[in-house]
Amino acid sequence: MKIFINGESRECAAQSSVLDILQSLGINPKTVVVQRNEDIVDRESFGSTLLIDGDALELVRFVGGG
Amino acid sequence: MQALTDEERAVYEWQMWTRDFGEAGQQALKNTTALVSRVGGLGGPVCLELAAAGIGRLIIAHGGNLKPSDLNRQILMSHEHLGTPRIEQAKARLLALNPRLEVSAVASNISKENVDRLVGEAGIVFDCAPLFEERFLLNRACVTQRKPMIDCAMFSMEGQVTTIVPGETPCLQCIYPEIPPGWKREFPVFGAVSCAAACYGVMEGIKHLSGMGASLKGQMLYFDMRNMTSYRLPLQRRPDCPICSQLWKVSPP
Repeated sequence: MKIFINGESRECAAQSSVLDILQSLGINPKTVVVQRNEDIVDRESFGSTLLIDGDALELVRFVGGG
Repeated sequence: MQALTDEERAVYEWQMWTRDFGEAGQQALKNTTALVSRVGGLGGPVCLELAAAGIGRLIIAHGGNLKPSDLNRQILMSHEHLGTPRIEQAKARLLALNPRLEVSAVASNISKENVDRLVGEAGIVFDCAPLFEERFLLNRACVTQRKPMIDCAMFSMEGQVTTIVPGETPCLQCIYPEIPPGWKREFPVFGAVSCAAACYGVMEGIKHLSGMGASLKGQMLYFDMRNMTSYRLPLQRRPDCPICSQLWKVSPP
């Protein structure tokens, strides 16, 4: 199925979870805020939040540079 | 509240033409004390723009001496002062731009020992520190004392800004429950990226103080200058946040 990550389309397996996507991108789930179709996904629910075709994810990395 | 002098009216005339700002907005800036944590790549331009805009008093806190690797972004500094305290250079530069400004220079970083007192002296706080430990200390003190905090951060080509108003918005630890693993003191930085985040933050502060425009309360502005994208991410408070959840029990959203 096709999903959008930060505006760019990407193919992923059906039934992929938010956690699966983060792992496929090599992103530590503790270092990002994930927004799915404009709603924030609780970090505890990354593994149980299954995506569907056309979902839009925004991934925002925690940064602290000054 | 102190009124503007004729000299101040002459200096700030052009910005007072801004819709919904005017003399009342300028007077609000004049009568405000802002605390800025650090005067480096982010805090430096925050201080410079606040000084230019006519903030009344700045409390600036930054320890250490100027190093060569600071000079790609720390625009309050100058090459000839390598090896000397950053905070003294920052103060001199700010007063050269705006001699009406009152500057309280603290020659150390925000710490457990000084955070409560410094936040207590300020009407608004700008968090521009490069370490989460320091950001969290400021956040906790701002929540406890109910002070607004403009949080500015950057990494490489990305920047983030949000306005935290305790009791009204999520706090920094609602957004970042813990120190992100792997965050290091040294990170890729272009001065123009940190300066952009700083300028967004300063306008958030000016808007908060003057009541002009729509602020980033409860939202994070995120921008990526690698491809020039930006968007606003809605932020959610954490009901179990150890820092600010007590406030919500008193005054629910």
